[in-house]
Amino acid sequence: MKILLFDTGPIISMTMNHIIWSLKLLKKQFKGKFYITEAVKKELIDKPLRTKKFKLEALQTLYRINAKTLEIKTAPGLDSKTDYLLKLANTCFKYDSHYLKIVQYAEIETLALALIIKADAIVIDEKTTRLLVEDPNKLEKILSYKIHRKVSIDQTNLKKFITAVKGVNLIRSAELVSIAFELGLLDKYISNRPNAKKELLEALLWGIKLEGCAISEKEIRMIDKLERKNF
Amino acid sequence: MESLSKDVNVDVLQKIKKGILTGNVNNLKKITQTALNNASIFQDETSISIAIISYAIYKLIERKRFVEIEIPISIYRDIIKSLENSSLSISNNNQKRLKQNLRVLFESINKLDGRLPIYIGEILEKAKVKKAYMIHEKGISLARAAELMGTSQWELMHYIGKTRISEHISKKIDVKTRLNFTRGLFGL
Repeated sequence: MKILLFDTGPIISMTMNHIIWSLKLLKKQFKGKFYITEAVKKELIDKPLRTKKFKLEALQTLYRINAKTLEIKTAPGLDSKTDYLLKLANTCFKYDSHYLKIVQYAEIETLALALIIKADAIVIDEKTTRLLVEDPNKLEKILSYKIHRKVSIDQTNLKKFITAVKGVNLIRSAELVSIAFELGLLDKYISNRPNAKKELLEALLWGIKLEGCAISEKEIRMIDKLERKNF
Repeated sequence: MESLSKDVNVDVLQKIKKGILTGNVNNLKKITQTALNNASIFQDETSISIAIISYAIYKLIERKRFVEIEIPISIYRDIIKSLENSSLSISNNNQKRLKQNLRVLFESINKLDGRLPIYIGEILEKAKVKKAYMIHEKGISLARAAELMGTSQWELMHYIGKTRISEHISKKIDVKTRLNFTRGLFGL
């Protein structure tokens, strides 16, 4: 069975752009399961339900869970695997002798679950976790440059982490909405304006970016170019 | 508290006090950066509180330049006194006294609510989001930054989307590869 795991960010960016409903149609095309972890659910729903701001958005997300578009998933050994990966991830980079805690439990729990249940991919918008998995040397450069201190890599721990997460595939909500666009799932937003389809894709990608997806302007132009055959 | 973090925090508090007394906005701005770097590295409660306080005070003094308002001398005195006491508590490793002093500091800043044409209380809330963004910009994950600053990921995602934080992304996996992979997942 195919599995897509979602981190907090993509659900937020899609909800804030009022296209979270498209997940149901995407899931139909995917012919598999869309999962989130309990920790992600806490961030998306439990916390904002205790406040006034983003309460409506939390309820919209809760609706998706009740409707089984998104399902909360756990697995035996998840806690211990998460603890192990979290400890490694937060001891990969150091300033002087002080290890930098760069990631949080929920992000790593999603990673751990993906490994246990052999998910096809994780949908994750924030860049630190992605860089940690895909390009830790780049992350080290960012940390050093931005913190204005020389940050070094603990090569032993990094190697263990990279080995542990080998095979995990990461995509973003930007790629997901591009597919939704290709599949015609968002065609109801095509107006009778000139270049309406191109305009829709541009609006989708910029909408996702402006609600926190880590995609650059250059990448948006690239997707526009790649999708031209669909205009 | 680590001794390196301790020294930086004491230094920051003393510089904030000096910044208030001289009204030097540029120096206050620099201090908030130092406080933030410290908070990003050590991520302890004290460093984070001081980062928020330094930013709130910087914004307060900056706005005072542009808006003709009266901040009561008594409140200035309270803030200066709390900064001194906090500094002393850190030097003496007195965590209990430090917590009390920081709470008084927050309360003093909050007291200004209603006395200004803007809502000072919101400055503290906005400071949390802004500081969380700045921590995330330094390479700490979004969820971790939100957790450290006591703000939500909803709030933070909404904020960072309006910045240029995503303009410098790794090219290890390019967007074409990622898109083609996603197409494969959906049978396209």
